[in-house]
Amino acid sequence: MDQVFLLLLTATTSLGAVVLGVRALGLSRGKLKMAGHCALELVGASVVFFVLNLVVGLPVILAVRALTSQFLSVYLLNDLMLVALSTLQGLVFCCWRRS
Amino acid sequence: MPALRRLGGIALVLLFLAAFTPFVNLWAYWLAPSRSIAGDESAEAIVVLGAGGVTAAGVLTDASLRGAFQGITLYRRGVAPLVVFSGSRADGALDEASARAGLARDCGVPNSAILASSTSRTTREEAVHIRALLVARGINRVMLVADAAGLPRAMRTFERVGFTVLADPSTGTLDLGGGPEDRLSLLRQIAIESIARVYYRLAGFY
Repeated sequence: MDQVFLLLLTATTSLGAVVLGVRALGLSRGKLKMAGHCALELVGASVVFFVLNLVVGLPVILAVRALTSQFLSVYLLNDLMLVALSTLQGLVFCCWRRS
Repeated sequence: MPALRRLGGIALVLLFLAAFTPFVNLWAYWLAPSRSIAGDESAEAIVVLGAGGVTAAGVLTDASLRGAFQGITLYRRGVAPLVVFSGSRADGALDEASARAGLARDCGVPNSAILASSTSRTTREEAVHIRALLVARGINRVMLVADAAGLPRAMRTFERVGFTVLADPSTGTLDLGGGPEDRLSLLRQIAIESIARVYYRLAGFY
């Protein structure tokens, strides 16, 4: 039940948003599919940026260790903020592409 | 872009699979080492690897505290006559290994049964430094205490420098519980460890 709660909660508010969007804001239900596609593109772009950040970040950390007296931990890449920043990068990229 | 959409769809499916099913728990169990202590096997020393260090106030982090307590528990069960606490160096404040050693003394572990090693920043450095520390005492057989995700790599790294290694028996148990955040955190640990394993293999550390 605990784990299903989050899914039920977001499913309920999503349904509420669709109803509000259609009835109060005059949004087209037909364009919901396009919105879903846009969201998937955003997620995909965020994944690309996340992997890019890891692929660039790891050699930089190892190079700093090897070439300087400074020690950087690989666990710097284990920060949730990297996911948030990658998502922001994906969002900006998608908006830029669609503008 | 259809490729981005496909990637996004796959990512979302994997996210839901990881967060809302025991898939990650099973994966972690499959990766855990199976060479744990059994029967009347014993080790010559318990080595508690560094984990998270200390806060700015000199307090052990949760992960470090768990490792320290596990080492103390194994000592009190008679697994080995010596506990080695490893940890990273600290600027100014009490370092992790010393803080753990202090905790062990407060829990009744005699000073003569405690060693602290504060000179390591990576698992590889821990293996090398602790090998130098223990070979002088004729110790070759150790039980490693570390987080479950990192234990397989740590075991191989310590074996590479010449130790016979046993795994902490508390790891490798199947736990299907935990909420979405716990599972995603475990997934992150598994991902980081997978990258680390590749690096260690390429670097010849095991």
